[in-house]
Amino acid sequence: MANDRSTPDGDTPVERVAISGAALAALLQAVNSSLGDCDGVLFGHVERNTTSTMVDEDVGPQTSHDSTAIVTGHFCSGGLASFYDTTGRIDAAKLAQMVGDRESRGGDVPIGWFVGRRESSMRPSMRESTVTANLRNTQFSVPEDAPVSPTLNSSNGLLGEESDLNRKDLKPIGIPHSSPCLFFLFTESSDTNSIHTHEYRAFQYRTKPRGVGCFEIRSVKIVNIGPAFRGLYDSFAPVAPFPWFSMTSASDGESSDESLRKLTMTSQNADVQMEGAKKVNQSLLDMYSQDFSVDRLHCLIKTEGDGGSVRELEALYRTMLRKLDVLAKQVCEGNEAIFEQELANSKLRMALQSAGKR
Amino acid sequence: MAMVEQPRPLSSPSTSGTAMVPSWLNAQLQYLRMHSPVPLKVENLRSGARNGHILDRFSLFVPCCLSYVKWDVVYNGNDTRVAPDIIFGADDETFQPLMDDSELSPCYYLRDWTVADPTRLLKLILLIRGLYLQYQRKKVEEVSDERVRFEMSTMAAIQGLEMCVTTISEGMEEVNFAFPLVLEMENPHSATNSQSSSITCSDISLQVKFPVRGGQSGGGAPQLKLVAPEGMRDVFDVDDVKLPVWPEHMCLVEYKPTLELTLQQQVREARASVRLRRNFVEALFPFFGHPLEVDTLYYRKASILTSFGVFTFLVHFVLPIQFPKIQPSFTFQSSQHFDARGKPLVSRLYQDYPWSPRWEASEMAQRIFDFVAEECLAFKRSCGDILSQR
Repeated sequence: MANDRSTPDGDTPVERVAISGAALAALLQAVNSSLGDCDGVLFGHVERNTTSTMVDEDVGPQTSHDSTAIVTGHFCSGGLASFYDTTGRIDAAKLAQMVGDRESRGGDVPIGWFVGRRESSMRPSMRESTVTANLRNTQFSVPEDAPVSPTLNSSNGLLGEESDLNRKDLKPIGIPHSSPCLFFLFTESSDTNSIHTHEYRAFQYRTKPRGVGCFEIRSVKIVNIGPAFRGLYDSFAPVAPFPWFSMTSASDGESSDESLRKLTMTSQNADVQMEGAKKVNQSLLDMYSQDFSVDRLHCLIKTEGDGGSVRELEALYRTMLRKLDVLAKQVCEGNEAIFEQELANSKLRMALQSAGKR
Repeated sequence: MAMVEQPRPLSSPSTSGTAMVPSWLNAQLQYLRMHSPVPLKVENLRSGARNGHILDRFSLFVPCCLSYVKWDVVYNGNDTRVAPDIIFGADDETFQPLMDDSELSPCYYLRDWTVADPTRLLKLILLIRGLYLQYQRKKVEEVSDERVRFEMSTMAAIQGLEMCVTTISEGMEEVNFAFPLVLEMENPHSATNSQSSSITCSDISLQVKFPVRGGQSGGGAPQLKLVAPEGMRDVFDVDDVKLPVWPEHMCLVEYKPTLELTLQQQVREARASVRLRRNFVEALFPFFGHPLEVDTLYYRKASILTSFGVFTFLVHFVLPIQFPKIQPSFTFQSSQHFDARGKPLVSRLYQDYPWSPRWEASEMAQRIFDFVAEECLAFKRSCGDILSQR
């Protein structure tokens, strides 16, 4: 293939788009349950595989690269023009709100967007082309004072309440240059025999080949269990928002020496930095659990194979459940407060009205 | 002046009885139908709502080069604040009118879209159609074929020229040109008021198609087609016109005046034919009595009630466009004999009776009257036979 040598960027064609059955089902569900047309952001990453095949003749091994764009999640706005206006201009603040801080928690970056519209042609429309082009060609930054309010990320269902936790002053949002820009179209129609048809089509938006942006249809592979998807499982790498806790423990003689050496080398400044990192990790952990210290989590990983770890793991689950309780309670309290405020407001209104009558 | 054809009425809403066109969309479509300077056709109104109750999207047929391109206009019935979106044809994916943000861009209309303004939809469509014609012209300019390039370079002076490129199959394209033909006609009102004695008529347009295969046109004659508005068919049928031969090395700018002269002659004859038909129909009255029904616009049809003895019957005349070169045809319809289903019995079509286009109108009527007087007896007899067979 001709484009092997160059470092792959967003314009390099991907061979196919892969999406897990669950992710596709969630997308279809979101499109189906919206009252009218809807749009949203897609998250995902690209996997590039290099395969070498040995040939009998003297030409040496032939390497072929192929890349698959994997859609791992979405955020559906439930309406149209959610992060852009009717002329297709991107509203950076709204886009930032939809993208959320998924990336800081180890999630995937935005890889494109989608539109669900019923009873219409499966081609990008005038506005959709413009939105896609704008998404591709511009990198946005959230202004410092932009209100990035906590958003509920639909796919992992976590309440991101600490939005300023990992936020730098100017955070680039949108589709990274290295990532392809995908556009998914969904449509559904039902005929008189009440057969519902769901159709979807994936496009990769590319700018280079013709100078003008164009949409190229990509085949969609639904990831499933089986030998056909072996490659995907082989290349699987777990992602977690937490840092890799080192497996070294104080009891290991050799490694303790190492850590000692490291300790002597680090200055006091580094100590402060480590304290800072610990604080960040602790607040990250606090988003998921109630009163479970990072040190304890560290210990849990260190004591692998020990009988105590089961108890510790259970304790972690308990604190996670407690966290849910706390959140639920907060929601209840919030609702109550709103209700009381509403009541007070209506009382005031009544008083004003009666005063007006008199 | 271009012919203003009213778009056809909307296709009836889809099958489910509860689906309806919201009033704001109805107002916009109504305005579009009433005020469009070009014939726009709205078809297949359908719903994008989950319950299917609000009809908010439709196919729009937009005239381009004397044929139509189909666009989907997609509103969002659940959120009327969102301006409509348009899906263009499959070949036009590089047509992206929102990408340029200049004064001429439709962005202006879309930015502060108000659903309450019924004129908005038409304005938007006309604006985008204008941009689309420009886009197509650019595509034609990119065609590398020398023949097409030559035609392009010579056609600058033609008024109302439209052009487009359509893909027919893989590697096979067609460059279309379309323009109105300018015909000079005698002004029918020039005798009564002080207007000039001739008017120009540009109702008839010419569509020219150059097939281009792999960037090369064959060099043969292009496909030529005359297009006239539907309403003109009663006076003049462009399908009957024999187009002048397209010799080798002919080009459109040269061909156009020749064709215009030929057409001018034929249209004038057709107009004169209206007058002759009128004279003929009026000449029938003294023989047959006053007619029941006459097409008083173009005198293409006349029905007369007459009797022979006690036999009362109708004569339906149909007058051809090429009258008097081609004689009128007629049928008898009995008012006394009916078939089993209660329908009046009708004779065969008569168009083989004695005729000469050089006769005076009164003589034509006289001869037809004589022929009818003879032939109606045979018709009466055949009617009686049919009834006795039952």
